[in-house]
Amino acid sequence: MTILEDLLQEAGLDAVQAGPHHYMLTTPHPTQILVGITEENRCSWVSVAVSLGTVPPRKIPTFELLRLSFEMDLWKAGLISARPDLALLLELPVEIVTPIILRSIVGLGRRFGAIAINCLRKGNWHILAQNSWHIYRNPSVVEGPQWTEAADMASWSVLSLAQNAFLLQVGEHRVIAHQFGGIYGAYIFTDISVSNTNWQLLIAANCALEGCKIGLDSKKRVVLACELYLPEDEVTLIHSVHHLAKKAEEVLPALETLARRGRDILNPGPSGWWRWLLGDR
Amino acid sequence: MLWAFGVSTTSRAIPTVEAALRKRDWKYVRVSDDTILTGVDSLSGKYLIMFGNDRKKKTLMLGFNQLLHDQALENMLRNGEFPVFRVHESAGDSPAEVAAVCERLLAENYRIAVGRFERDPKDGEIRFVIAIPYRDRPLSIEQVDWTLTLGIQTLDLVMPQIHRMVGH
Repeated sequence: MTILEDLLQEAGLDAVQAGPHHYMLTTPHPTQILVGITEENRCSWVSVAVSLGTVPPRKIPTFELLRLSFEMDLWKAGLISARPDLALLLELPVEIVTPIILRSIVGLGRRFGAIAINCLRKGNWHILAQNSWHIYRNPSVVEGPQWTEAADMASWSVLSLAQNAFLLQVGEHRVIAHQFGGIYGAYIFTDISVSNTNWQLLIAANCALEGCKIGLDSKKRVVLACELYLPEDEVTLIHSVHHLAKKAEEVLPALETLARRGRDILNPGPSGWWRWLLGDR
Repeated sequence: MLWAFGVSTTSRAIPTVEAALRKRDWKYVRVSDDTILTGVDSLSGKYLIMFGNDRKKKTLMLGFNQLLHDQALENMLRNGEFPVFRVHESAGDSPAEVAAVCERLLAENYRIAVGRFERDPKDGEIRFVIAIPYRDRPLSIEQVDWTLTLGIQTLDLVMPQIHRMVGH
């Protein structure tokens, strides 16, 4: 058996051979998914291609893949490219593709395909283009500031993780930064897992945070994040990351205590803005 | 205080918001020098939208609240409550439902690229907030316009799921 056949079988994906190095998945789904293995630049790549038939200009979910790659601790994964005849093409170095990863990537492709098809049926490609993945490429956006230059200016060490995604060392914090279209994001992934009894406190803590937010990744780890739309220059990026790191200094000890003790030690934040509006302060 | 308005410095933020709303031909109320109130009847419901300008921090905040349907709205107004969507035990939601919604909102905070969900623990009010800092460059009409669209689209995706989780 070939490497690809092994992978498909272990991932539990039924497929038929569609070419010398390609397999078409046979699991019923509105999209056609082709899994292949290619040689390029002296590397072997496992590719997952999603075809929708008639395909309008594509929007590539770089950021979702970045998140996926991060969650799987694939620090250097996430190379994505697009071709005219495909809605989406995800490529990963063969060395890091395990059956679980392959299944996840296929799931990602299917999810993308399902959203795309739904939008096509409704004749509303615009929604997909703008927001279905919360990722977009705004054609009017010219190239903005660069994380690498910001890191250089701020003397942060920087490691390139994927296309437009970087790992920054900011003081004690490891910050994942990305840029795509006009959106720039910085994320601090913590080792803190909070039990379900504390989700109310955690979401309430967002009320008191300015310029950043708290979320939960798929492993229910706490993530601190800040995002920017169309920042002007590297200085804005530096400001934002410093702000995020500062907030992390304030929030993380409280979250750690919360996770450890499971007690209400977070200030739930101010009351609704509408109360302020109504004069009830 | 969520947003500390009223520091007296020159800001073009609110006029920029007004220009963006006029471009959409939207009705709005300028509540104060730094606050604009508007709303939209979107695919997933009616939303009240507040633009708040924090001059000191040079940040424009967009706050979105889902308004309740007409009957619930009347009941809440009669009881002196602000008629926005809430998930709370006092609104008839079980502790398990409340916890599930909170977890879901936290997961959405991680998933979405712009904006964040908040829940006021006192009454369960759920709001969606987007902050646009303009410290390093002036706010543009396009930025406001795009952020508004993104906010509404995010709510159209998330709120129906939240409603299904609590059954109201």
